Amino acid sequence: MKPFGAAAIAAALLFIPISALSAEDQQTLPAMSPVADAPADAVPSAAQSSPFLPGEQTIGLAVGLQIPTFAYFPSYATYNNLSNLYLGGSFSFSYQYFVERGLAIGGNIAGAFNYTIGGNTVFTAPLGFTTSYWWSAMPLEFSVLAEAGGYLSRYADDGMLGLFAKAGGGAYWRIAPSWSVGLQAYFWFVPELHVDPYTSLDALAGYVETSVGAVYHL
Amino acid sequence: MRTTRRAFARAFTRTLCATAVLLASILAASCNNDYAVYQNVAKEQKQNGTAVFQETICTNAFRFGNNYYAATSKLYRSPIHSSTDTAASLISWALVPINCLGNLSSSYTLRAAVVVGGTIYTLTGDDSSSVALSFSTDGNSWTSIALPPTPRPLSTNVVSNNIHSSFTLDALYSAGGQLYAEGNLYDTSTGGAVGVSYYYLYHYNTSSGWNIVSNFSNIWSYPIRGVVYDGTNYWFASTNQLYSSTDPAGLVGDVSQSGNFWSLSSKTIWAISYTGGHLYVSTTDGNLYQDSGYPEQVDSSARPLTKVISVPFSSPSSIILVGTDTNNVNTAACGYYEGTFGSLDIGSSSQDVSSSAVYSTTVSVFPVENFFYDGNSTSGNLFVCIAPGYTSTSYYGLYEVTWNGTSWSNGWEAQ
Repeated sequence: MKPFGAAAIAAALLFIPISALSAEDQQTLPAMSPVADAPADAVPSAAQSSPFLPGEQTIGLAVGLQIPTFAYFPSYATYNNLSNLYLGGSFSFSYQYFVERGLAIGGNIAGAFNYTIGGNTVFTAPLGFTTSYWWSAMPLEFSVLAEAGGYLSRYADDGMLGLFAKAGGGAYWRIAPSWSVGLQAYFWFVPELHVDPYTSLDALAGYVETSVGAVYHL
Repeated sequence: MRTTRRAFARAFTRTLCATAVLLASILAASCNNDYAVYQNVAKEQKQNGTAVFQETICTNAFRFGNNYYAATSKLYRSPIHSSTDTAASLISWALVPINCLGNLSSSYTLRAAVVVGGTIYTLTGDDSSSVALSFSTDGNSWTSIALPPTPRPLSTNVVSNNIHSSFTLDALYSAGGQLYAEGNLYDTSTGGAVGVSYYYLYHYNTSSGWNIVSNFSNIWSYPIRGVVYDGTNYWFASTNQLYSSTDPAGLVGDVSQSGNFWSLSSKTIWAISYTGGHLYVSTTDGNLYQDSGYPEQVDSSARPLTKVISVPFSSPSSIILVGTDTNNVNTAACGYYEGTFGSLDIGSSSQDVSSSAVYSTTVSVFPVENFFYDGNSTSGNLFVCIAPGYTSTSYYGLYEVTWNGTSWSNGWEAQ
C-alpha cells in the first residue's frame, strides 16, 4: 500500500504546478514580447528561451522530501514497506548540456537521508549520468529524466557501495530569463548487492524523491 | 559567451569529479560487504522505555517472587514479563518504598539491592550519616538492620575515636546464600589533605550480625569488586587480588598468581562473575580470565571488561556475554562481547542475542553494568543494565530480550 501511496503523492506534486495554474494566475503572467522590446528581467517568449538548442546548458539545485517505499529481499522473496524509515530529506546538484534540440546529457550528484525508528540514519549519495528531454509551453517547462550511476550509503557506522538508477521528471515555471523553478519527482532504485558469500544480504530498495528545484539557464 | 559557458562547464565538471572522489574516499573506506543495510533497517524496533529508566544508570536487576526488580537510585519492580509483552500492566515499573531511617519512604537514595535466598536487602543513604540497611521478605514491609561496626582506623595517629575518619558502606554482595557488605573507612589522618580510603569486607550472620571477613589485612587498600560462589568455594575479589575459601566468612590466601589466574597479579580486577559453571575475572585492560582457559585479551582497545553471563543459544548450546566500560581514552561505544570464551565478537558483529540494528541503537553505546537472566535453556528473559547517563532521552538504563528455546527475540527492548 505504501509504495502506491508514495507514488500517488509524487505524481500529485508533479502536476501541482500545472493544475494550480488557474486562469487568474495566467492573467498575471508577464506579457510575451519580442526580443528587442523586452526589458532585461522579462520572462522571454518561447522563441527566445525555450528551444533548448544544442550547446545550451543548465545547472540545477533541488531540495525536497525522500519517501521510502519498499525493499525487496531476493533471497527470501519478501517485501518490506520500509515503515522503519521516517520521511527524509534530499538535495541534489546537476548539470546538463543540450546535444540536440530538447535532448540533454549531464551529471547529477545528490544526497538523501532518512532517520530510522531505532535512532539510526540511512544516508544515500548517488552520483550518475543523466539523459533528459525538455519541452516548454511558456512560461512552463517540462522535463523527463533518466539517470544511471552508483551510490554510496551509510547506515549504523557501516558503508555500502552500489549501482543506482533514477527516473522521473519535473515541471518548472520560467520566472526570469535565466531562472526556472518548479517541482520534480523521481523514483530512486537502490540495489544493495553483496558478493559471495554474502549474497543472502542482497536487497532492492526504492524511494520517491519529491523536491523543489531551481534551474539556471547558462 | 560561448567561451564563458565552456569554461563554466569545465569548472563544473572538475568540481563534480572532485566532490565525487572526496565522497567516495570517505565512504568507500568503510564499505562493508558483510553488513546488510536494508535487512537491518527492517529489523529495527522503536524503543518505548519507561521514564524511570530514561537517562538513568541501572546497576543490577533480579527476580524476587513474581516480580522483576531493578536498581537505579531507587528500587523499581514490574510483574514478570517478556520483551515482547505489550500489556501496560506487565511492562510498567513501580517505585518500591523502603523503610530507611525508621520510615517507609520513597524519598531515598538507593546504593545497592541484592537478593539472598528469600530476602531482599537494601542499602540506602545519601551520605555516611544517612546510610541504612533494610530487608524484606515480601518486597512490601521492610525491617531495618544494624550497620556493621566502624572498624578501628588503621593509622597509628588515630587511637580510639573517629575524629579523623568517617565510615560508610559502599556496596552489598550476594553469593551462595550469604550477604556481604563493603565498608569504606575514609581516614584523613593519613594521605595528606586528600585522605585515604580503606576497604573492609563484612559477612552477615543472621545470629551474630556483621563480622569482618578474616585474613583481610592484605586487601584493605583496595576496593572490593565482588563475591561469588561456585558451589564449593567462595571467591572474593578486590581490584588487586583474588581470594577463595570454603568458609563464607574466611579468606584463604591470594590465588591471583596461580593456575589460570597466574598473571592476574599484574592486572587491575574490574569484576568477578560465576556463570555457566565457570569463574570469570574481568580486568581493566580488556582481559578476561577463566578458571579453565587461558586468559583472553578480549578488547583490543584495552577498555575495562565488566560482568559476564552465560545464556542459552542454539549452537553452541550456550554463549557468554561480556560487558565493557569506557577507559576515558577510547570513547568508542561500549556494549558487550558475545560468543564463546576464546572467540568473542563485539555484539554488532556476531549478533547472537540481538540484531545488529537494535544493538547499535541500544546497548552498544554505553557501559554495561550488569546482566541478569531469568530462565533456563527452553525459555527465559535476559536483562542488561547499562549506564546511559544524562546524554540522550533515546537511551534507557535497562533493556530486555527474550529466549524462546530456539532463538532470541529480535533485539533489546527498553524497559
